[in-house]
Amino acid sequence: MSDDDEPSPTPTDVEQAQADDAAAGSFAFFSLEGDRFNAPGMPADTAREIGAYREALVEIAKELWKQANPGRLRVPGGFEAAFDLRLTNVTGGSSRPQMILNRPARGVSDEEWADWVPFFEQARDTATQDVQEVSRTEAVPPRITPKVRTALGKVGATLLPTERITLGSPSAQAPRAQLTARVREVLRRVDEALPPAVRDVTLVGVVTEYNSLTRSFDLVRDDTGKKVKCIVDNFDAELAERVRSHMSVDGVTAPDVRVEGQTLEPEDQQIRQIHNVHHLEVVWTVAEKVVVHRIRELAKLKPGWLAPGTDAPSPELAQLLEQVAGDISALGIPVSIVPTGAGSLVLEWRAGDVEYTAELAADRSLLLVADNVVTDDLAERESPFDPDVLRRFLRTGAMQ
Amino acid sequence: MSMPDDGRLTDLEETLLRQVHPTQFPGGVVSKEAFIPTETDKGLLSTLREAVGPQEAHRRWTQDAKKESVGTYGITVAEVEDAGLLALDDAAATRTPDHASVDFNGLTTGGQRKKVARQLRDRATSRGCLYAP
Repeated sequence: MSDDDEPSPTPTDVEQAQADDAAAGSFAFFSLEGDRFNAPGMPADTAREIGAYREALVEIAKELWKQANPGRLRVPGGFEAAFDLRLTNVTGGSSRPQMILNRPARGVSDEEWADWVPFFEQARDTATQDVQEVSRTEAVPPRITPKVRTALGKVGATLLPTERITLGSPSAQAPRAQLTARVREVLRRVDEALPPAVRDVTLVGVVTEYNSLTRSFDLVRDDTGKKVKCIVDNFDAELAERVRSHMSVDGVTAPDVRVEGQTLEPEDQQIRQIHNVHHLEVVWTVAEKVVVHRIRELAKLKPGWLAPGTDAPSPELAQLLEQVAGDISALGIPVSIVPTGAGSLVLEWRAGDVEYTAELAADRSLLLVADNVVTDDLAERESPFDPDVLRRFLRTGAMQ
Repeated sequence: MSMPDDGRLTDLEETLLRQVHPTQFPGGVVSKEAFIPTETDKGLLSTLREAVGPQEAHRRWTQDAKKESVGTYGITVAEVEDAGLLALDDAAATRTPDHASVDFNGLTTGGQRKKVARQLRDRATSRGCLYAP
């Protein structure tokens, strides 16, 4: 269908609408056009167009704010919530929802409001220009980010092919743009052709290299062994310093850290790079890693590993024992971790004259044994596995 | 060497040969778990008779049975009996030439098995590894 087939408001309609909106203090001119909208009011199922329009303007405002504040990757807290666009009325021969920009009662200072409102207004005008350009060129300008494109593409989703939205500033002199079925089609086509939008990811591994100039580091993933380039949020100097302090000199000896950031790579593909790294925490210290590594190695044993018919420790059992990895590493004395042919995992250590044993069995029972190697005195207790009981036994030798 | 009708080994000086799996040798320390029979062993700790020799015992386990071992350790029949257990010739029953077992079936709790295994392990390691490849 071409634009020629679609209804077009008469100059008189538009002029009258502009005058009405400007007089009402509207934030934006927004007119739904088509046969359905000639009756009074607005069809209920199209009310969501206001929300989609607001979401699109929010995305644009965020981009504009970041462009005006180079190096900042996020807008200030409260920025998005401050764009409180409210529907106050529906007027017109076609449906023209009246929208005002309401200042939230709390959470936005005078300075912030004065700073942010121009971005909201600029976002409205930018959206108008973007829609005009898409309409004129039937292509998406490169300046439109994927997030903005996706958000704009949702405006008009409830419309029939012959219906459209005219939008822009409420000022009578301001240009208007028409969001037609054709424009929506162009936005949707581009969206299908491009990779998915940015997504949050969490990775665990070892920091092997740090570049202070680019504030980036390499993370060797714990699960795949693959290297991922991680770029730290530019203004987070404290995080950058923490990354540096946890870096491995030899590529191996360093704590395992959990890193949160964002990637553009699809979920079914290997992650090579993450951006906006904003969180880093130690998962396992070096000492804990030795213990965890040992436990995980034993969980890789196959049935029959010791002799025909013997069982191997299950990964689930290994995970249970990992709960006390920190306590094992903190003992300060060597603790042997060994498997049994029954699929158990056993901890053995000596303190003074006593050899201590804790056996986590395949049925998740826990056997604690204190065996005095001089007197042959023996104490033992068997109970369902409880990490706190095992921790106490590790620290004090107490079985209760 | 002598042996009563019940298969019990009576030469107290005979050394029984036991293989130790690498995972039960962490950090070069023999775990007592290497001296505890599994459930599939029906409470019988598997060994070979002294006549086989430590090196041949290792070879049979690693090459014939295709299992892993860091080396051959030994415990005497006297040490077995000191621990309150019996050493049995069960080559015929297991259809394994030169096979002998240490019977743990008299021990009723997990703690008791650990304690006896610790005693056997300590005796074996004080003697040293009899053969390591």
